Amino acid sequence: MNAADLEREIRAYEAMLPELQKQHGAVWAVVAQEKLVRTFTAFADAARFVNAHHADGALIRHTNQHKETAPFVEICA
Amino acid sequence: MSFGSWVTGPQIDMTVRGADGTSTQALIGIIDTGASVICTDRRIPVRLGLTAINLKTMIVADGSEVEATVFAGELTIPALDFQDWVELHGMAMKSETNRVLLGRSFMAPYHVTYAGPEERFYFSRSPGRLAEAEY
Repeated sequence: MNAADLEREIRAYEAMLPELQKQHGAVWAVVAQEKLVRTFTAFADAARFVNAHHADGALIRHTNQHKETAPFVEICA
Repeated sequence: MSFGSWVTGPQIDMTVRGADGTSTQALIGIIDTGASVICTDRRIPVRLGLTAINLKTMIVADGSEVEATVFAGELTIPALDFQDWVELHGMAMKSETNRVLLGRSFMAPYHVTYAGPEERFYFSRSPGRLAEAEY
């Protein structure tokens, strides 16, 4: 899945996020074709599911996603 | 050493399986408590044909923010008896490298202790087993 496709799925995900959090709490959500496909407690289960059932790819994002940290000093812009 | 305890690091031999399900790439994992997730040169998952499954904002050492492409990859670390799917945060590193930062998301299932004089990390699934096995 390229960046444009992922961005489209992310926009759909963000629109459904409040309801997703209300219904499922803290979970890994799988979104494909701008629809919620399934939720998982563990990332590995979500990844296995996408690998087995979504050859064209899907968004996997946790409902509590936040900014991550990485102690890099040399990266490309 | 009791079941469920391992001693390793700070560098660990590891492999990531390619999208074809058979090819693997050997990598060097570096245990890094300063990283919140597993971070890799973006060229590695792209070359392996792994699936991009998310985009995330990362805060780097100088406080600036960069975008990472997140890939789903099957990671194997024999020294820790570990094999499972993980999030690999692909970042546009300046120089190509096969060194991967194993951040806190990887350590989450373990109790990890660093023995400074030995320069070794002690991993255990339970604190009781860690104490019993290593001290």
